[in-house]
Amino acid sequence: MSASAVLDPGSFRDPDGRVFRIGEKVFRSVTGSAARNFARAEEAGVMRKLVDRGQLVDFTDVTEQASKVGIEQADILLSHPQIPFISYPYEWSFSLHKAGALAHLDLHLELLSEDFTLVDATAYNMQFDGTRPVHIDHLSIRPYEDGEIWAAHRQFCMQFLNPLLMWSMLDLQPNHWFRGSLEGIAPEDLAKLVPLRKRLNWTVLTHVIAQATLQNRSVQSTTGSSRYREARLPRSSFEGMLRGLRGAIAKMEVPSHKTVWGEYANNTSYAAPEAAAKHDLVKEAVAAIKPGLLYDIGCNTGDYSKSALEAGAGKVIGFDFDHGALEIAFKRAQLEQLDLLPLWLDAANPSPSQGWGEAERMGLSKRAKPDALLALAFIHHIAIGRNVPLDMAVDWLVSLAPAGVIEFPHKEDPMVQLLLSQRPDIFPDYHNDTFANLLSQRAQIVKAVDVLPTRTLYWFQRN
Amino acid sequence: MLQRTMVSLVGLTAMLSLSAPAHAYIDPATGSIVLQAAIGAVAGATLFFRTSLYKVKALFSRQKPSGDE
Repeated sequence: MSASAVLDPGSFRDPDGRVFRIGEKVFRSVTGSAARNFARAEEAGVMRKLVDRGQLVDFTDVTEQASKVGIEQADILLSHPQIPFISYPYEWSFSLHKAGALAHLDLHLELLSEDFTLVDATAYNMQFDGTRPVHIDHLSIRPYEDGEIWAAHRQFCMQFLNPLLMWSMLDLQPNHWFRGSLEGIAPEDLAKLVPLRKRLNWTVLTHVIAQATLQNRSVQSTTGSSRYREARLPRSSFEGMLRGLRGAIAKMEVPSHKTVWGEYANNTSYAAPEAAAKHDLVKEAVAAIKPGLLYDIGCNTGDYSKSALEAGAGKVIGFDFDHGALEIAFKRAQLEQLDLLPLWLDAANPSPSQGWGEAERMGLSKRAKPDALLALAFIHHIAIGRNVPLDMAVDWLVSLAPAGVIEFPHKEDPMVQLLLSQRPDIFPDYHNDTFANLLSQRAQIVKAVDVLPTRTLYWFQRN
Repeated sequence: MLQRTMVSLVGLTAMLSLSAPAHAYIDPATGSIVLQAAIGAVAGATLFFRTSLYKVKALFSRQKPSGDE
C-alpha cells in the first residue's frame, strides 16, 4: 500500500472489504467471498440498477489501476464519489431516521425480488444527499439463499426500529442514548420502558417485547442457540416481515411534532423586521465566498440555509438543537428540493470521535472542511445559555470555517435579556465591542451591519 | 387489527413470562432467530392475504391501479 492510501478508521468489520482514501478519492478493496458476491450482483445488473435509481452510491471498477494507486491486495478495486458529509444516526431528526429506515427496507425488498439480500442492517451505511437517503456499502449485498433467516433482523431493530419507536411511542428523542450506545437500542432495554397498554401493538409486541423475552431466555438457557442455527425462514415470511415493518414505520409520527408541522407555512414567511437585512448580507457574503459546502450553525427552520443556496452555496449542512425546527427544515428541504441536510447538534457538546480506537465514528470537526458558515441568532445560546466564555465561542466558530457570517445579539436584545431573566448577569465581557475585537483578532471583518439597534451581523474572512 | 392483536396475544403469552438479565456468552441474535421462526408464518400469511386482497380488488376495479410495477 502506498503511503498516501489511508484506511478509513470506520471500515474494519468486514474482513473482505476495506475503504481507503487517497486525497479526495475514495476506494474500496474487495477480496475473497465479497468479491465473488459483488461479481454476481454486478453480472445480474443489480448494482447498476440500484445506482441508477439513486438507492446505492455510484461506483467504478478500477481494478486495473490497483497497483498504480498502491492497493494491491484487492481482487476488485472500486472507486466511489466522496460523500460530502458523513452523518451518524445519533445526529438524525425523526424524519431523517424514518426516511433512512424506509429506504433500507425498500432496498432490501428490491434486492429480494432480484434474488439478492442484505447481510447487515447498520444505519451507518445509510447516508444522506440533501434529505435523500442512499446506501453506501456495496458489500452488504449478496445472493439470497432460499429459506435463509433474516440475519440482520436484530440489528435492524436496534438501529432503526427501536429509535423510531422511542420517538413515536414514548415521545423520547433517542439521540443521546444512541450516541452512547453505537450499536443502537437493544430490545431488552426498550422493552422495560414500554407501558402495558402500548404492548398490544403488533410491531411492539413481536419485535420488541417478544424478542427481548426470547433473547433473555436464550441467554439463561445453557443449551444455547444450536438447535436454532438450522432455523429456516420461508421467502414469503421474510418478505412479509420486511413489508410489515415498512407499513408500521411508514405510519409512525412523533406526537409532539404534530403541531410543529402545522407551523410550516407560518415559518416560511420573512416576518421579523430584521430578516430582510439579514438575508441580504447572507446572500452578499455567500455570493462572494462561493462555498461548495456551508455549515448553518443554529439553522432553525432553514430560512437562511435557503438564502445561502440561492446565493450559490453548493450544499448546506444545517445544525440545530430543536427537533421541532429540524422537522420543518427537513420538510422544507424535501418540498423545495433544497440541497440541505438538517442535523441535530448540541453545540456545547458536539459529536465526539468515538467507537473502536476512538476513530470509528468521527467527531464533528474531523468530518468535513466547510468553506463557510452561518451562525445567526446562535452565539448567545452558548455564551450565555451555556456559560461558554465569549472568546472560546468565537474561537470555535472561526475554527469551523475560513469565512462566514456571525450574528451578535447585544446584551440589550430582548432574546438575550430573556436568557438573563432567570439568572444573575455574570457576563461582563458579553458586549458588541468585545465581540468585534475578539473576531478581528482572529479574522478580517469584511463587513458589519446593524440589522437592528440590538443586533449586528459580522461577515468575517480568516487570513 | 384488533383481531390480529388478540391472536398474537394468545400466541405470544407463553413467551412473555419471566426473564433474567443477560450475562452468558452466546450468539446475540438468538432471540431474533426464535422470533422469526415464531412470527415468520404470520408475516407470510399476512402478506399472502394482502396480496390476494389486492388482486381481488384489482379484478373489480375498472382502472388498472397505478403506482405498482
